[in-house]
Parts: sequence; structure tokens; C-alpha cells
Amino acid sequence: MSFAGANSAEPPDSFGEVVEAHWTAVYRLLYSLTGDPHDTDDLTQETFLRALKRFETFKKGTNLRAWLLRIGTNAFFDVKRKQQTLKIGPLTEDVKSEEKSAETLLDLAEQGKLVRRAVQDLTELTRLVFHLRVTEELSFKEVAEIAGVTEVAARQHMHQARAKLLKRLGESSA
Amino acid sequence: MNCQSIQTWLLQAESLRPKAWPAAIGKHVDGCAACAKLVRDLRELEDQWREQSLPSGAEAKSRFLQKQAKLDVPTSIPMRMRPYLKPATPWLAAAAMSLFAITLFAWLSRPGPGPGPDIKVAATQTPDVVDRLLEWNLEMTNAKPGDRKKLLADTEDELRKEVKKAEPKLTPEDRLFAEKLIETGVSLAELDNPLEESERVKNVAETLAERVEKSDAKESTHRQLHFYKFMQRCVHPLEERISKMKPPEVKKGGKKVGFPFKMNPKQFQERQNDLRKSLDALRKKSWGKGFNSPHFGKRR
Ligand SMILES: [Zn+2]
Repeated sequence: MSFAGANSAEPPDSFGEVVEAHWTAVYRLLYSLTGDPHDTDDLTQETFLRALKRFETFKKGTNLRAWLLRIGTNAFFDVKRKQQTLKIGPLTEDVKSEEKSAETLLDLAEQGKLVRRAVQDLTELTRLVFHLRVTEELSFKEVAEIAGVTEVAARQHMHQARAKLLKRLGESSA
Repeated sequence: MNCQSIQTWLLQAESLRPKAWPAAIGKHVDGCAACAKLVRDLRELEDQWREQSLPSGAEAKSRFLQKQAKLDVPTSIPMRMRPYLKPATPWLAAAAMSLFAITLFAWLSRPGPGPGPDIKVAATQTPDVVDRLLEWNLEMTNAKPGDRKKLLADTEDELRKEVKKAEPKLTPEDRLFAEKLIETGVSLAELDNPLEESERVKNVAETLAERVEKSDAKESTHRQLHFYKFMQRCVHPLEERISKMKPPEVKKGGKKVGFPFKMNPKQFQERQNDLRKSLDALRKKSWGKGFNSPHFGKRR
């Protein structure tokens, strides 16, 4: 049994490198979707296990991160479909980021709180589109492929996200 | 076009950068206070979402990697998985587990280097010596400035020998890159200032991004990993250090303290901003079109 089929990707030297390079991006996407650190832990692990199992289906020369984000998105929606009990809760606000100094953390927490509250009121799909476009800076074409919608629909979700968020934030600052 | 249609267009625009817009939109926004405000608000909103402090899941990652390293054959269901992640029936769980065990076994028993502390698999196109040099640069940037000279003394000769030995087999592109990595490593040992370091590091990151863009299908995955690894272990921590640097204070009598360079606070801030911008541009470039291909996302 060989993984090196003509159209399939050679697994990289070490799967650990894939994990190191993309864990945070996958984790943050799933955190934006679930809003719960424990669910996010589980789903991120599930995502990388799925990726490990299917590495031979990854197309050489394509965007590895986007591929992982798609697996993560599918894992989230699979779980949702199977069990409606997955709580899509508010994004926890007191999480510590290992990557920010205490000072910036304070500022960002204040600014971020409002945005986070507003984002959690969007539908999951709209939230997904907004996150992928803004944080990962993927094109609408790629966002659409990850989200399993058409490019036009992805644009509409972005339209909705921006309009709703501005309205919410405008109301809270007024 | 009226404001309403422009604003509808802006709300679903892929990019909020005027450069990416049709000229007519840019012209309108320039001359219209309401539409210009919308663009500003949208940018601010997106910046806030990008910059919020989300957890990175570092602990979960370590647990996952430890599990992998021990070759403690993972099942498709992580240990602490919630009930909703478990397959509906036990036979499904068993089937998933054995499929995974077979897959992992097949992967590990492929010819080539055996499993090390991590799962090592097939050889790649990139010569080992380039991998080694890149890793060396990462070690160098992550070492405390005071420890770098020792690290350099311990490793430089051996690495140069390795490069010399591998030279006949290197492509001209790899040879130039190897030289650049040695040069960067050596210069890092001399520096103890994030602003100076970042010039060197930025240069390597740009080369890595170019190498990804130029790579053929065979090399692409490996080169993408190089780039991501470098961004993650080198560029991002450096950005963090830069953002924490305090501008020099000018004490009475014009004496500058708290900063090793002869820069006034304004010059310092300009330099800090320039660097941030160029590192950011690099990140955007790599996540944008450069790393994508027309094959991406074709449904299987
Ligand atoms: Zn207008």
C-alpha cells in the first residue's frame, strides 16, 4: 500500500510539522464556531486526526491550511448534525492568549468584547464566512469552498455579517 | 452610482483596500463623507476581530503531539471526546479504529527513515542541508542574544562542512539559499536588537515565500511548511518583541536611555511601523494568492 499515487500528496516529513504550523488557525476557527474551549480542543484534535488519515487525498501544490480549515469546518457541522446538543455558546471572554502582552491584552479585551458579542449573534455560516475572510484572508471563492456554498452566497453572508455587526456596534456605542 | 449602491457593493467587497476596487468606486468614496465613513468603520470592525485575544490551543496541541510522538495509536475519537463525537454504534467505532490503525501502520512501514520522536516519512525534494540550515536559523533567533555566539561557535564549522559536501548536488537556487542562511545565522549572533534582526529575518522569509511560489507540485507542500514554520517560530515571536519595545526616552540634557541606537522616539516609531507593515504584507501575500492553486477545493 503506497501513499505516493500520481495525483496524491506525499505526506510531509513529519505530521508534527503540519500540526505546529496550522494548529492555531484551525483552533481559532473552531473556537469562533463553538465558543467553547473544551469543544474546540476536541474538534481540533478530530480535525488533525482526520487530516492524518486522509493525507493521501491532499492535492500537491494546493493550499494546505485551507484544506485543514475545510476539514475542521466539516467536523464541526458533522457533529452539529449528529447531535444538536453541541452548545453554541458565547465566546468565552476571559481566555488568556499566550501571544499577547498583558497590556495589549487589556485594551484588546475591551475592544474585542463588543465585537465578540455581536459576532456570536450571527448564524454559524455567516460567522464562518466572516472569520475565514477576515482572519484567514481567503478569497470568497475559497471561503465558499470551505463553507460548502456558492461564491455569491459567500458574498451575501459577508454582506450580512458586516451590516449586522456595524449596526450592533453602532447601537452599543450610541 | 448613488451612495446606496456603492455601500451595498462595499458591504460585500472582498477587499477593503481601495487598490482592489474599480476606479469609479474609489473616486466616489474619496469624495463622499458617508461612504468613506463606512469604509473606515468596516476596517475598524475587521481589525478588531483579527486582533481579539483568542486562545491558541497550545496545551491541546502539546497533548496531541505527545500522543503522536509516543505512537500511542490514536483512535479517531480523542480520549476526552464528548459523547456527541462518538459514532452512533460500537461497531462503527471499532471499524474506524482498525481503519486508522491500518493506515498508520502502512504509513509507518513505508521505506525510508524510521519513526523518530515524531512521525518521519518519505524523503522530500528539499536537500537535507537546507532543512538543517533553516532549523539552525530558527534556533539562533530563539536563543537569547547572549547565547547566540556560543551556539554559533558550536555549530558553524560543522554546518559549513556539510554545505561544502552537499554542494555538488545542490541546484543553483538551493546553493544561493544555503549561503543566505549561513550569512543570516552568522549575523544574528552579532545582533541583540529586534529591529536589526527583523531586517535579516524578513529577508529569509521573503526568500521562503518566493521559493513556494516558484516550486513545482512535488516541492510545494514541503516548502509551504518551511514558510509557515519560519513565520511561526521566527517572524511572529520577533513581531511580538518589536511590539513590546519601548521608544527611547530622552532625559534632561538630551541623553537618550533605554535604547541601544541613536534614534529619536519619532524615528524609532517610524521604523517600528515600517517593519510591522512589511511583515504584515508578507503574511498577506503568502496567505493570499501566492499559495493557492486553481485545483484548490475541487470536491472529491
Ligand atoms: Zn456616497
